[in-house]
Amino acid sequence: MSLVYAAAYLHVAVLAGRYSQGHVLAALPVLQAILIPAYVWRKEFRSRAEAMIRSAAAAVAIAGIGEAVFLKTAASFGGFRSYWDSNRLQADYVLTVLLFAGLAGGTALGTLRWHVLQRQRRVQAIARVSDSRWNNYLRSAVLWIASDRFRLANRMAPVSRIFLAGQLPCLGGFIRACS
Amino acid sequence: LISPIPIVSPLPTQTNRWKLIWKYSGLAALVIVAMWAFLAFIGISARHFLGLIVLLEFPFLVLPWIACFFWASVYVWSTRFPAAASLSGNTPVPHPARLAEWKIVCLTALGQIGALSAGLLATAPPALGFHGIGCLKVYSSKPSEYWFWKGYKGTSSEVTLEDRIILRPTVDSSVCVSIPTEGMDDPQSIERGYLSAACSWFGLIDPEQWESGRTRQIRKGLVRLLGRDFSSYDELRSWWEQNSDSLVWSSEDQLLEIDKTDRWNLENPYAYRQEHPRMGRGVVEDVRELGPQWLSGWGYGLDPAPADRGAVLHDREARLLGLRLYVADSIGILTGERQRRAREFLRNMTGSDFETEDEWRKALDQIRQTNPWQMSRFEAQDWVSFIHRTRNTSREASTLAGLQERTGLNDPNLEDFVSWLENPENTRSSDWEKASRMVGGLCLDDKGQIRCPIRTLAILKELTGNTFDSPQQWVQWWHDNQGNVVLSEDGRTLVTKPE
Repeated sequence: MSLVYAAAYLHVAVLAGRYSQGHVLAALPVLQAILIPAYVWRKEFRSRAEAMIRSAAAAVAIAGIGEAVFLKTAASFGGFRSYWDSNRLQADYVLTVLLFAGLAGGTALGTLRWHVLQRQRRVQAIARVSDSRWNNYLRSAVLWIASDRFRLANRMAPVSRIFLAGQLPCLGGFIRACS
Repeated sequence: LISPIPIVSPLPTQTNRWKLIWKYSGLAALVIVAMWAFLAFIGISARHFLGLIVLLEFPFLVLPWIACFFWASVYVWSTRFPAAASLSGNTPVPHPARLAEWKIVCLTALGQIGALSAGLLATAPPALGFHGIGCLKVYSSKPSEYWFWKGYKGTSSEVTLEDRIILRPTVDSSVCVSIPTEGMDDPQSIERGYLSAACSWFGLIDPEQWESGRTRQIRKGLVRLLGRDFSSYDELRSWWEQNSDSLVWSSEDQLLEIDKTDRWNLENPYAYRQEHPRMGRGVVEDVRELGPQWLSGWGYGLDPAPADRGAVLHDREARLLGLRLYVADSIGILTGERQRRAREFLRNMTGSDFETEDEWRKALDQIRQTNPWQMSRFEAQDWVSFIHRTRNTSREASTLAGLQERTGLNDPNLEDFVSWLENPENTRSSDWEKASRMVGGLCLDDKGQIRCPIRTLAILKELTGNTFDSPQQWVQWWHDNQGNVVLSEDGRTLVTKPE
């Protein structure tokens, strides 16, 4: 599916010479599809909720990190001096896909991982799960990035467009209420 | 500062989740308020107006706090409490009813499809929904633009939404043009659209590439509209100059044909002109005239975006040709050749030579009220029509007086004026207007105005990336590279094609 996302991106974006940035953006959904299963599959969880939340948060955090990297490195690729220039890259498409696909895929992966763990009866070995300060900090940071990604979602053109277009009126009301 | 809160304030042994959520989000709120106070203090102590803005933004702190509350919730709900952990360490965890794995996979697939739909919708303007996927620019236009694209390079998609058609030109599918369906089949709209298309096709022809494959395709486009081909560029050009202003749409033949109407014997020439407007400039000529400055923001340190001048300016082929002509014209300005030709034109018109722009303008103003410079061809047509309508009526005398005043002739009969009015040598107000525009182009006092050497040099440097200062260097560069320049990937500058 991530390859479909990438192909659709290359179809809708106008790269106009910005090939490096365009290909990095196209690669982000593929990267998410590789990194998140790899992360979830080596993780030990202690509850279904933890498995779902942490997997989804890690996937959504890719959107936040991807956006930050995209914005911070823009100057290295010649920078954007107008909205027209940056809009042509359709970064909003990639960020929206990362957000929603991350949420859907991450939650599902977490649930499936939990099932596997249950089957392997590893839930009995909870004591082995690291509770170090560093691990807790990482968990908190990933959740924070994901939460912040959701907060910024109401600023994202795509989300406002989706709701303004009346495609998801209920969520639209929610987002508008939040903002 | 917020992420480390759970590390600084670890899980207590006896508490419930909601208390913990409120505790963490409360601490996060403290961090936010502290940051706000810090920024406000810095701003106020520096007596910067931003300090006041930060102060006024206090109520908006609730927005980041909502994210903090969400973060605290998911953190706490993803945490297994120490009490529960110690319990589950010794006791087998009960298996709650769980969703079948195939159902999870199906739901995920649906979610992924939803994500794709949301992503695609994110690229569409709200009003267009899924029909506007990939539209970066949407503008409303007249029905004639629909026929323009039909006659020019075509459309990549067309969707009818209620009373509008949304089309995307093939030259750039990120542009969506919204056109009302009302009046779509109006002959005037068709005529205007096809005339513009013919004009744009004509502008694309490179005289030196008459037999090339691309020119043959362009000629086919013209043949589709005009119903005839030409053996050489010279033949086409002379036909075009002679007839382009007389072309009208024939709904019977579905072609642009030379109008057989006698424009000197019309009942109402004004209404006729409204119905059959003169052909405008093609896009190549538009770009040639303005150079790269049709891109808004160009030359002002901003990254230029296409100005609101229609999708046709997104046509890279037309833009390249227009910019190449612009460069050739600009080099003429740098060498002074263009100014020399302008001066010659003005000298021929006024019969004198002057040193300053003011003197030229005064001389032009003096001849403005004399013939043949005061009357336009259209005004002459209107007079002829007026003569026919007022002949043998009570208004004949006033028409005669008006004509005598306007032409400076003393002929006693209205009919005597007709041949004078029909002679194009007597109605040259358009030449006077052209001359008036040319005075600025003499660049007698170059303060960096448009189409003068100082500004032209700066534009050329930005457009081509060259740093030459002397006109001779530009002439040499253009001589060596004029067949070798192409449009940059972003379509804003000219670059030399690698050998």
